[in-house]
Amino acid sequence: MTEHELVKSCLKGNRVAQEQLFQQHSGKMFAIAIRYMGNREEAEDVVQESFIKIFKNLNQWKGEGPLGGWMRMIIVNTALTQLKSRQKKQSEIAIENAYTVYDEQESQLDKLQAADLMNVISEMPAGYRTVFNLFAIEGYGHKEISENLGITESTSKTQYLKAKNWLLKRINER
Amino acid sequence: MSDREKYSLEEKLQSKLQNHEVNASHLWENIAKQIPNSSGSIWNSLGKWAAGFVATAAVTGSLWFFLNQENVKVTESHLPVNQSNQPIQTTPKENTIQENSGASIWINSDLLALDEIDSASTSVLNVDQILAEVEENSLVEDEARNFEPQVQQTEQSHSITQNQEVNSQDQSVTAHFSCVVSNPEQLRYYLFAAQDKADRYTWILSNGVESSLQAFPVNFEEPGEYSVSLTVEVNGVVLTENQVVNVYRPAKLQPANAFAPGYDGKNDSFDVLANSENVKELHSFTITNQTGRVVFESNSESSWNGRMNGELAIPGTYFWQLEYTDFGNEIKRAKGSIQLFSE
Repeated sequence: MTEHELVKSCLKGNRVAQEQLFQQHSGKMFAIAIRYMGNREEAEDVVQESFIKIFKNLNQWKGEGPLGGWMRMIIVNTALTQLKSRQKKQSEIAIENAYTVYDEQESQLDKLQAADLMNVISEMPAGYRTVFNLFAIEGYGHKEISENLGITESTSKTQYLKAKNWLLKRINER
Repeated sequence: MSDREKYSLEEKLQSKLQNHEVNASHLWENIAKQIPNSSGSIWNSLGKWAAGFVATAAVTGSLWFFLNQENVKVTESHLPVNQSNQPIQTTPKENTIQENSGASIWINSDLLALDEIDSASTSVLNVDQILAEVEENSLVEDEARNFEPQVQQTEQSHSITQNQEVNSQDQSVTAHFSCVVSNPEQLRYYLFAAQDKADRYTWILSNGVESSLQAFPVNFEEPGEYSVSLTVEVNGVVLTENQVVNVYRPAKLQPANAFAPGYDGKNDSFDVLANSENVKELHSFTITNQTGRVVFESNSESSWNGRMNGELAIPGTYFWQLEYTDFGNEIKRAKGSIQLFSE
């Protein structure tokens, strides 16, 4: 069964197909949500909300790109919305201005398992974790990020630099 | 930190995290409550027409069958066609044919969306043949056929296979099953039977795996063709379906992100397919500069020497685009950037 056919079955309300689709993609989607939210609980909410959106809007997936990519976009957007509403509730962690470049620590990164890396990212200050996720992992450009988050392009770039330095520093400390 | 190193940090992060998974199975139950479904058998996937069939079948009392849509495909001509049973020459139009009273064929693919076919027009699909076959055997066993689930079934796929379904006395039993890629890297597939609540499911795979579940995951050790047989038993009706599943490794591209032509004799050109795995055939390779102008284009070469009209191109970032087929015979596209350094 191709992705298209699976989707078709899902659209017709076939439970087995729906569960298939969920089981196929939920692991990756949950990992993405955890990266953005920084904790499992909020990430679970994001995954649930996203999959409900995904199933209700499956007919909008035109099959132009991979379904996984489309889902990823929905997850990321849902997480961003969630983060924005959270931002209103609590003030963001202040970001230190000074930063140093850690390049030699990159090799440490190679030794790190994905799960450990996930933990490190979860601890990253939320202020720049979002930019970090969008730029480094999802591969968005700074322009897109700035438009999406309502910040300037140069803020996006600085935030990313800070995130990177924080990450490399943290990895080095381990 | 050089540009190249910076780039590799993101690459490292991406390779570690982009496919990272955290089990989220526990969330399904909650989600399932909140999304629309139709309860009952998998033949709901055939939607309203299935219901229509059953109802009409009851009225006419005639023998009904329909070809399962699962495997009817149309592709572009350059893709290999290996298992077509019947050529289909219909226009991708919906509802072109009126309600019928004889045999119904339900064919559906992304390019071919015929909901119904009137018995008069079935000859296009060689349905007479199938009808005869069905009448001969009150229970239809699918002929062994090459079924390549993950492969031929893109919208470009060309192959046609059929599954036949007998509806008798309001009851439809099917031995049809689907094979879905679960994790391509690990050659993990998911098999699931269309028949809900059968008294017995008997799966036998040519790699020795057996199961009695409606759905289960299989890890194949090697790429190749595996035959899968499912026997379903419902109220004494026993049906078997055989499919050949083509298990293949997904293509992997690992192009360089920088090169320096004319410098030291090394890295003189950028071969986008260097270090790549499981790429079957290259269709096109294009390099554009930052203004979007095409600098290099080829449908056979995967390598660019960094030159444009014989002159060394200006150092900087260039963008590449690639179109190729993988061993699943799917057309894939990839793109990326390449730094051109001067000596």
